[in-house]
Amino acid sequence: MAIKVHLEEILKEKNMTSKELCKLVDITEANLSVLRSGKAKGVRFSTVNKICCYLQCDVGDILTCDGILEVEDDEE
Amino acid sequence: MIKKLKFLFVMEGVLSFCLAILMFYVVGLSNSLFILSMPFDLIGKGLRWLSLSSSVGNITALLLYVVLSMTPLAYLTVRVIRHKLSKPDILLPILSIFSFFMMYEFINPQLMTNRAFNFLSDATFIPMIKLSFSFIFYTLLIAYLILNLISHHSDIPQDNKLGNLCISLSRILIILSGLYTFLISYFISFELFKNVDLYFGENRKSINLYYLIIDYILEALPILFTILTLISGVALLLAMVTDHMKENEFLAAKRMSTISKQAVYVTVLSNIASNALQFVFSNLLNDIDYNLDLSLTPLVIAFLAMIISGYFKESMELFEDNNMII
Repeated sequence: MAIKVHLEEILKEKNMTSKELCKLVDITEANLSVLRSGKAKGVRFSTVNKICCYLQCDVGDILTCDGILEVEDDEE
Repeated sequence: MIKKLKFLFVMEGVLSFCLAILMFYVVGLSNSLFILSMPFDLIGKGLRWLSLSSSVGNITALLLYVVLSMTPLAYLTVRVIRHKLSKPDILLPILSIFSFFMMYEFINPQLMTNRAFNFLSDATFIPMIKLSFSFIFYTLLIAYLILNLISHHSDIPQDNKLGNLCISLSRILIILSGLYTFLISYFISFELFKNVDLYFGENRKSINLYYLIIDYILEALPILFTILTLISGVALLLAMVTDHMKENEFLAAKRMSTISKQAVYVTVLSNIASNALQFVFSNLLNDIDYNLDLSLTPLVIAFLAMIISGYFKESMELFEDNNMII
């Protein structure tokens, strides 16, 4: 997928653990893990909104597009 | 739980087979349906004996007669006190009134020929009249239970109420399947013994017995698959409670669809085989009964089960997709 998730780097930068972020954003650690690994099929605006608010960052800091469109197995 | 249910139904089948032996060979019933009037018959005879035994017995019999007949009214009173009255409860006083009338007739069976059914005024028809009374009683009782159930679950379930509805329906299915298994097994077994006595007695050829046994098996096979379909329905309902939106729910629906399709095949083929058997053995039979079984019920259930399993598969995929959206 062209969209890359940089949540790991932002968490280190802001000195916050994933557990603390889960509590603030109100998602499970399993879901956060899915998001960090880039395996999520989508993210709700409300979730991105909360992450950006609590990590004091922009959407572009967390999600970047490298322009390479990889066709996923289930889309073929 | 499903394995326990299957074991229970097998035991029921065996028990009802033994009951059929008891009723035909020991008690000497001439008609399999007379077992339905037996509870009332025994109560009537018991009360009559008690009444005629002594003056104390007479008073006791009268009290028991009133208490038994008033039981539906007593239940109605309890429901009124607990503020749980509903529209079907109107049947309870009707049931009580009918019980008063019916039990009096069972205590004095000769009155049956005078008071009801003038065209059946011969005493030999008393067992049939007793059966008629019993049928009306069971009709009223079953009508009350069904209407009460429907009025209790009349709204579309919301939130976690779907689970409660599934549990209620699974309990209803288990009770109905149990009753169906017991009664149908009893009736077809009774008919087998009746036919064995009829055909085997008159013309002692072993081929008659083979025909009767094959006919019994051909009659029992569709019933067996109907029971298996009902059990698969229970399994599906339980899966909807414990594994909602998971693979087990979809697999339970798929299994129900498979069993329903097998039920259609078995019913249709049994019907063909039964008619063919009667055609082959026609010179040995006293009466021939050709049936054209359209198997609509198992066919409709099979299609419904296939639609439900498709719907569950789509729902499960949507649910999993939804879970992958953070």
